Amino acid sequence: MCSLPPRCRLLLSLIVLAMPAAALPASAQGGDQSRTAEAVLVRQDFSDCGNSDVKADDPSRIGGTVQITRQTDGKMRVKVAITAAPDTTYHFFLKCVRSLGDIKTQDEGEATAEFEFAADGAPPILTFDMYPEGAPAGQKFQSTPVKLP
Amino acid sequence: MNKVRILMTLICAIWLALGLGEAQAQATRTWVSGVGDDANPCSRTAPCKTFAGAISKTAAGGEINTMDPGGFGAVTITKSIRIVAESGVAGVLVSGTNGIIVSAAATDSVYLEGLVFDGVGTGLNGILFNSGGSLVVQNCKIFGFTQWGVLFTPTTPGKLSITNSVITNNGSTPGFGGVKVIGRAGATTISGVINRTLLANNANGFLIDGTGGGGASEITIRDSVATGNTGNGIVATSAGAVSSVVFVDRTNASHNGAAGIAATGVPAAAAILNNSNVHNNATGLLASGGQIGSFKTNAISSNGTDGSPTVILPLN
Repeated sequence: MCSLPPRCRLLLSLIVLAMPAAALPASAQGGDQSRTAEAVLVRQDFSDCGNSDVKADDPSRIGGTVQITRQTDGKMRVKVAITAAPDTTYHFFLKCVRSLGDIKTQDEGEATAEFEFAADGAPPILTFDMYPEGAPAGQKFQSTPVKLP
Repeated sequence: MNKVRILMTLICAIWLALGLGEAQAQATRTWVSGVGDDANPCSRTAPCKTFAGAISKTAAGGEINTMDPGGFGAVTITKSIRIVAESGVAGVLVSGTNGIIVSAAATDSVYLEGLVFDGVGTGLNGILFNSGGSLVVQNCKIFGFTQWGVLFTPTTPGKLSITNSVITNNGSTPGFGGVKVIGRAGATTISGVINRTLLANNANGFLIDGTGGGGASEITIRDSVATGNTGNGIVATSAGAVSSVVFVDRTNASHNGAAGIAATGVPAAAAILNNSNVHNNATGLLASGGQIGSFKTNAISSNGTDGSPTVILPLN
């Protein structure tokens, strides 16, 4: 090692420095941030498909969060956490596109659920909405718009 | 014509007799029960089910009491109120949202006692104090929130007191943690005490932050422990000339992943220590732009780097 020329030693040092970063799984590296996005579910009865007037500026109207992650297989995984009416089933939608499934709240109103959908065909700006059967006023939630991660 | 008059009089009499013509009165004391119903008047004999159901039936300055253990849900408080739970577990279990939000007037005081806040790993803040005069948190447990256990961010002068409480496992990213105090524009002064409270295993333990647009803020942490937080234990930070001071008295800051006690930003940000232990942190005392004062009565040892106070203060 001592007999290596300075340029060779420099190269080896660079490789050693670069190795830990390369050995990290993709999810642990800084670039992973761009693969996840987060939206807030706001208690609001109506909006357009882009939820252009949905804002999370009033914390008392926030009913939950939506975390969207692009997986290595290209699918989008959606983790939803809500606190809403107790013992109620909410239909959860990729808004104006399709239903993703149902979320059933527990007796204190909280619930979590996970859904998946293919990124192909999804709009560049994602919006979600959810409401119970019959979509009663005051029980509907719209998400803040979020860019497809 | 007379017949019409008689008929109208009768209708009015029936309307008043049924109590339909007057607004529902609010009680000074209301009750919630794990087996209550929000359709009830929240009386002792007909309790409500949730804090949200009870608060609209409770007069400003009144009190909500729990009758028995239960999960009583999230609530937004917009007036002076006391929520007192001395009847076993009084849960505020939320997912994806805040536990209790205080959006009250500058003269309003809020008192919370005996509550167990559980964010189940997805809740935002346990207690979000957005506006109001004062907040007292007594005998509460707050855990599992992704942002802050308690975020005190008033827009007028505010007072905070947290006593005998346990605030753990809050903050899913390095920017969050146990308790944060940050005055916004209009909060010309903030004062408060954190007493006999455990700030453990959060992203950070306690942060007093003068960068929110408010004025001078001073918090005393006494007889408390900030331990096992992945970031800092206790931090004062500020910008410009806004004074942001934490007095740390008879308190332990240990086993934190970054600094036990830190003062950052500008000299107006200060942590002042008295009779306290700072040990087994990555860094004991960190003065990075801010000042750390000491009365020379502290034990600072066994940290990766102990650090040292920047100002020695006289005992008198």
